[in-house]
Amino acid sequence: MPNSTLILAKRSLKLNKVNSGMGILLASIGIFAFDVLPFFYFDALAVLVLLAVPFMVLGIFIFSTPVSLLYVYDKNNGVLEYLISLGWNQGDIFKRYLKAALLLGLILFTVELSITMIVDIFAGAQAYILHDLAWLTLIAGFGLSVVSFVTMAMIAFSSLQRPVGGNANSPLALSLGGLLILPTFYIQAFSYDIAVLVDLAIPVLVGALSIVLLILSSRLIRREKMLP
Amino acid sequence: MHVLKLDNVTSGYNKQAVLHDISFVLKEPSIYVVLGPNGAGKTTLFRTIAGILEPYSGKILLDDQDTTTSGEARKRMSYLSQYNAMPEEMTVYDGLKFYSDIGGGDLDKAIELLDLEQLKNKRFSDLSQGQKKRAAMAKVFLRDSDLLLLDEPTANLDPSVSKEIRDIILKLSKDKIILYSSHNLYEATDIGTYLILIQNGSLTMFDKISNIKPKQYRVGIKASQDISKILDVQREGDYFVLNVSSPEEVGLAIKKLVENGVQVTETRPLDNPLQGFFETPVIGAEKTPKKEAKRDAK
Repeated sequence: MPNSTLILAKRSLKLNKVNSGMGILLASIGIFAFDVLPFFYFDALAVLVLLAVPFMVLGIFIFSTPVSLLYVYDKNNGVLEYLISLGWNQGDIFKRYLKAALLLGLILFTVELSITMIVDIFAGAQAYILHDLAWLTLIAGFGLSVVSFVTMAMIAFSSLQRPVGGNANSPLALSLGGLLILPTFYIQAFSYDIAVLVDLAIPVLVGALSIVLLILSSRLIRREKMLP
Repeated sequence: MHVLKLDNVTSGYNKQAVLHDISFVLKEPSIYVVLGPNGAGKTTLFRTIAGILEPYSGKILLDDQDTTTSGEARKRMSYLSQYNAMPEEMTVYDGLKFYSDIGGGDLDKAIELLDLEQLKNKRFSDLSQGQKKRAAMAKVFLRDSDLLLLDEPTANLDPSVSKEIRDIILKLSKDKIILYSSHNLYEATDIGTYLILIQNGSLTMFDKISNIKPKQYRVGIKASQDISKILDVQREGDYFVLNVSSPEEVGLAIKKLVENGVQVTETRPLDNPLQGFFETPVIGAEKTPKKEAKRDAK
């Protein structure tokens, strides 16, 4: 892991504790619904899992958003401009901020995974490990694809850096991320099958869009977009 | 000996050219003052040389390395923008370490050079404007660069801090090429050896400052008595103002006063030789993109 990616991740967390705290809170609600509640309401296992997914995914996404905020902050302060003068190019900057965002998302997912595995093992629910791993794989894919898409889109399109409602801490891109996850909060109210389908379809779609953005990144991301 | 060469460089923002066909070669280690009115393209010039803006046409070579495409070439220069470009949430030491971890350099030397020992454990956001500028400048001196690009390094600083910074820059100019932009004409004549004049995105003059001669000199004279009967002067405040066309005429005027028994207590030039460049209206200045004008104004 390049040192600069770690530095960016650390700086992000230090700079925006509210978002990282919110991410942890949302992930905790998801973990509670995924790991603890089924012991009391086993019959509702399927619904609880479907309810846990958006919380755990949103937790991963919100926990990574300080990197996007740091990007805007560094851009406005002239830090990105200075990094280019140090020999980095726009691709280096783009990759490092993206990696830092993914790193944070991955850290929270690892916590979600570890807690689930610990609960499964110590509560004697080993039979459900594979079931849980399957869902956690979906959660990781969903969370990290949203993190990638939002981070890349925000760097590529300056218009997505505009603050929503005058709040500098909520660029438009973050609302976009929230909107991508939003349907999964209520879709289970209609049908289990549709909910699973939506939970699978959104990450596939967002993942595909992320790949497209990654391919186009060298054209979309110009140096002058990094200027204050 | 290092050489910076700009060859027909056209550059700007959003595909709109701000700089037009700029060409010059800097060979001699010295301070080259870049002068021009707001929106002329000074910052754009610095950003283009620093490789931050990619020129639409032309090339910028530092010892035959293209600064736009070569990260290695960019590592050989240091750029101080008008922004402090320091992570505000960090202490001065951590902020400088952040940059030295990325670009290398001697952290302790930079702290010593800019006298930051007392400030190094303070958060950057807690510093005064002058202290911030000094700390921000330190990052430029982390590495021993061949070329320094300093975009208004003393803007908004009090005179004593400005002088300290100018002294450091002057010391470094013995073996480096330094491009220095300023709005302060006295500072420009004080520190610079060469003048690069940018007007409306074009290079309109490149010469030694010592070669620049104004059409008229205004000299203020303080004397023991009214000298208006001896010389053709006007009274302006404490001074009798004499208009002459060459510095030699000042000597003759003083000689005449002394011969008439006048005691001359002070003579000083009232105008800066570079002042004329700012008084000339810039044709087509309204075509300068507003964004660039705003940036330069900052």
